[in-house]
Amino acid sequence: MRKLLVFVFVSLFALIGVIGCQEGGSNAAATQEKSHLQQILERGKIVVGITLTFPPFGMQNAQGEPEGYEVDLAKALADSLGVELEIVDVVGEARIPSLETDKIDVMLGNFTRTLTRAQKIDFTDTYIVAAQRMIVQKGSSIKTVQDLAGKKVVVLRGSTNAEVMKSLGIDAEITYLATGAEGVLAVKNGQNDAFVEDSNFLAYQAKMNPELEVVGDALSLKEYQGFGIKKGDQQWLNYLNLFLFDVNYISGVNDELYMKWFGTNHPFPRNPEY
Amino acid sequence: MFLDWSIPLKNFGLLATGAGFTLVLTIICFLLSMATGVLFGIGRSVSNNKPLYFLLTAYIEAIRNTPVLVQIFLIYRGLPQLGIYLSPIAAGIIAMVVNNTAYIAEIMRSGINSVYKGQWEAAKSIGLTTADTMISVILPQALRNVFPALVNQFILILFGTSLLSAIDVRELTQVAYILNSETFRTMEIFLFVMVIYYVLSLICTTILGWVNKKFFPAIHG
Repeated sequence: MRKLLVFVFVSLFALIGVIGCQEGGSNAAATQEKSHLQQILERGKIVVGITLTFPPFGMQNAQGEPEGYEVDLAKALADSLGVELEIVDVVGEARIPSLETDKIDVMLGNFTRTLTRAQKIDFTDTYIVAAQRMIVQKGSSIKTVQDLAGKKVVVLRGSTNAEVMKSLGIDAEITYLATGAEGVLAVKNGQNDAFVEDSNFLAYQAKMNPELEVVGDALSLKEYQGFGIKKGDQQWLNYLNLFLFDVNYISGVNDELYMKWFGTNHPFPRNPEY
Repeated sequence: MFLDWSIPLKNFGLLATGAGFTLVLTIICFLLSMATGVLFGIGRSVSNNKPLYFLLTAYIEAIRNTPVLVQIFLIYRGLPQLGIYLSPIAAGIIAMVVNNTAYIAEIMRSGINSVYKGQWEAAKSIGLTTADTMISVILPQALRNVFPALVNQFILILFGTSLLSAIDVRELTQVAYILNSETFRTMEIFLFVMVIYYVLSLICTTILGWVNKKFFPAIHG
């Protein structure tokens, strides 16, 4: 019995080692791979990852088709390339793994550019700017960020908000959930006191759920969202940056789309003065 | 891709706590499911009470033909609309017990039905009541017959608790998800977690295998 156990363990760890080696091997080959830009043009299709549980950035209409601000932006991107668009629903925590495993060509998904993330993937320039605020039930005692201490607060797995709260020294009881819809539901049900998320997203949720309201100053400094792509594909990055420069400053498509989905002008400059 | 094993190793304490909680949850859920499952199994195999039989059948069919994740959401997210508020852990345990009771009831029913009917007649002839016969004659033999199936169900519960991560019960999978969302070391963390699940499952089957040998030695030697 003991011999068998030892054998099983040794073979299991050997297997993990082999997987590790293969990963390393395939990566060496990947550096010589074609740029995603070439791949997309050759296959005539772009695969875009969007979080479809995060209205109005990404959601599904009654027919189950994707729609939203980022979906429209993805359409503009596919049009600019002259290729077909395929949208894949990717939740927050799956964004980086999906890019690393080439399941998608580019990730939209309200993706905040952080230094930790930039060690794993590459980010384009900014297309939208947000601040983190809180959604609570109307009449809640929570008015400012400091009121979150000791309260039950939802953050999404894969978001930066738990770390931000820790760094502010706010000792809240944190609940980790997977989707924005669950976070809103938890506050609506009274199972959690507040849900910390992107101000653009929360404003839309408060509009849809009149019993909820968005409160608080910005929890963190402003966040500059970009598209995420697999690390090391400079050609693809250049193309996407030029695309964003075009929709942001030349054609103005981005401002039109923001107005269409959020009903206001974009609140912050996308290209801040340092 | 280079694999950085320091992330799971540095957070081994966190993962071990999650694994411990997974084990505790599994044992609680299994014992509670056994208690109700045995009763329901008896009710469905020997009871002559038609309404009871119909009710139990309806329950078992409804549960066995719907996904457990949906049941978990219904209990944790749905019940608050009726004013019933449960903590994630309580809701998780209830959902797992409601689900596994149905399976264990079916296992027990098959076990009870597998006991030769001569055993009933023999017990009756020496004057045992129906309840006595069930407790002292039929159930021990039924348990022996279905023990491997029960061990199987125990392992299914062990893995099934990972679904409770959806409602933020801090068992092994949820701990891994949180760690993953802070470090993005997906491959390392989840391979490590797989090994932990494997070890847990191995420990449980070994112990339960020993229990099987000790309490239900093979009849035919």
